[in-house]
Amino acid sequence: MNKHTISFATGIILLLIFASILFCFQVRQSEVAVVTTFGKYSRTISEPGLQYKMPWPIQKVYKFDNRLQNFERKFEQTTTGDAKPLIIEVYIGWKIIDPRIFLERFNGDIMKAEQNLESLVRDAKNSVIGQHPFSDLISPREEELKFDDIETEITAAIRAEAKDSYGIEVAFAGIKQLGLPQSNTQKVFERMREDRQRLVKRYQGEGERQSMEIRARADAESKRILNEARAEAIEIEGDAEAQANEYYKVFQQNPELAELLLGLEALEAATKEKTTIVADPSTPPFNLLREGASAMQGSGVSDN
Amino acid sequence: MSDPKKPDLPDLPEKIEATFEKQPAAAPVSRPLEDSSTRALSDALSSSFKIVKVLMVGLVVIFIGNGIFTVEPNEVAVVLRFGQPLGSGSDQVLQQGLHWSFPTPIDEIVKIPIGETRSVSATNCWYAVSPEMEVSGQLPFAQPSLQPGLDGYALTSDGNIIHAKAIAQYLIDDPISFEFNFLQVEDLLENALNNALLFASAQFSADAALYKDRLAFKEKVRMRFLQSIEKANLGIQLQSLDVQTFPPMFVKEAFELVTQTEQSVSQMRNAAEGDASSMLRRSEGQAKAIISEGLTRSNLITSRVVADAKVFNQLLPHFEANPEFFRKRLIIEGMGRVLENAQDTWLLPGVKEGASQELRLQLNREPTLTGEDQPEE
Repeated sequence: MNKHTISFATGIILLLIFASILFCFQVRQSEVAVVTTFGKYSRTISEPGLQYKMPWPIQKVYKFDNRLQNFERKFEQTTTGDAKPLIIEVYIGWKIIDPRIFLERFNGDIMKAEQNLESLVRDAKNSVIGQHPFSDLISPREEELKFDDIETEITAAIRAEAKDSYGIEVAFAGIKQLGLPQSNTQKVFERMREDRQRLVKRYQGEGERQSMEIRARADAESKRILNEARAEAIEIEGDAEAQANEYYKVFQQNPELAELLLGLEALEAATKEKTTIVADPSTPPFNLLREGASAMQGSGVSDN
Repeated sequence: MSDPKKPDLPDLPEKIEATFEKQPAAAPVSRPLEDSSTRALSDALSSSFKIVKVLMVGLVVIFIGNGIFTVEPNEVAVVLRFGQPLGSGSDQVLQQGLHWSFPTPIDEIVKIPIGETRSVSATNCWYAVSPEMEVSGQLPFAQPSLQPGLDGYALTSDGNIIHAKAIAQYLIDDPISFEFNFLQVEDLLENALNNALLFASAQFSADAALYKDRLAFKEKVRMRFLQSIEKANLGIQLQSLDVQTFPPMFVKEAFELVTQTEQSVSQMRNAAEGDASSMLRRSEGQAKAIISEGLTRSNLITSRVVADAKVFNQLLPHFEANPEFFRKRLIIEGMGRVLENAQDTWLLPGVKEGASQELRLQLNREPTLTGEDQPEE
């Protein structure tokens, strides 16, 4: 009896496995599924788990990955609101939200879906960019930059149609690359060179000006310091002269003697160095030479 | 042995019933002997069936044994039972160790490497370089223009062009979100990083992004990238971000010239300040010397006057006693001192009283005299 029980149980297990293959399927966490009956839509399954169906060809299950996917548009030229050419590449994040529509529209083909998304994104991008001036895309102030607004507008422009017509939810759109036509880049380079040359000249001019200002300020300050010093020295000497005048009152007792003493002092100071004296013989003490000669003549000594 | 129970056949004709009753119980018939082939076949089938049973049991064991798996230290695992994560909240994530689950197709093991640092590069705004050039660090030749789609670059707030690239390193922070919400995370991250580079470039001038404000530029890229990650709930944590900026090759020299000029201007300014400083110090020194000289002269004036007054007082009584003699004595003594200090002394020849005399002198200039000492002509 035991061996029959084991055989029976094993057979049951195999039967269950076989039946599960035919009648069951599972929807993965990252999937959504559509069940069709004889090719006609029956139901959509959005939640993961074990599901039941009739075996093929009665019912068929189509599964789609409903995770967020990345789609990138081509790097194409468009025109801004102020008629400036701009080359822009946009990317979007999308996921399947209504698999029934997705299946009916694209037969589950992701490539076909992306081809349709491409035209949708192109139209939205051109429309949105055409309503914004170039300055909305580049600005030194963040509050004037309309990067986020443009991306939001592109998303909004795509979202409704993508959902209703394709069963796709566009979660976000972003700008991946911005550029200019090749000829414009050449002009930009020329302008950049000219700007740099102007900057060089300006910096050199400013540098020279600042250097001259620094030196001129220092020179003026230096002169001020020296002038103040000279004035102070004169003041000091003046004070000394004033003080000396008090002492010079002594000389008023005998101005003749004072004049003689001061005159002799001045004469000695003036002839102190490198002086040649040309004197008259009557000038003392040279007048002694004449008196000596006369004395010698009187005593009979010849002066030949 | 009891008779077999007669079937209850009320509806049968009596004839059949009579047959049933009349026929005696069959006498045991002696069975004929089975031939060897039949026995062999029976044995073979019996053996085969045993083997099949063993195989079936073995398959079941293997089927169950396949459910054993390990989670390595740098990863976590999520078990999907019939496609649905097993457990709830943090219990959905299995940490390192030995685990068991039902084998496929009941359970599916999804392993997510969370310990591994991953990186993503954004090079849409960078030069077009080959992988070999990238490795060697070689830059492309200067071109007078840039081809859209081939040469990457970013537009700055002042309408200029720069090249920029970024490399971000990240860890998986939320494995459930990372694995089951996004299909091409690396592509999304790359696009978010490119978008951050464009966003930052659009707000900085070329000079600021390239030289003067690189840190702020990098911070702007980082903030924008983080904002994109959080908005999309990508389930990652940014570890590091490296941002590089570079001027276009065609104008690189012009930019470098500006930098060099700024440096030389700074040096010029420093030199001027140095000269100014030494000029002021020199002036201060001269000023002190002038004041000191003034003090010295004032002291000299004062001391000389004091001395003169003292001498005067000393000589006054003698002068008043005999003014004429004292005067001559002072003059002669004074002349003696003058003549002693004189370099040359010339005595003119005597002339008769009342006669005039003409004197002519040839004066030689001192060759060593300075400008201040030059006699007036």
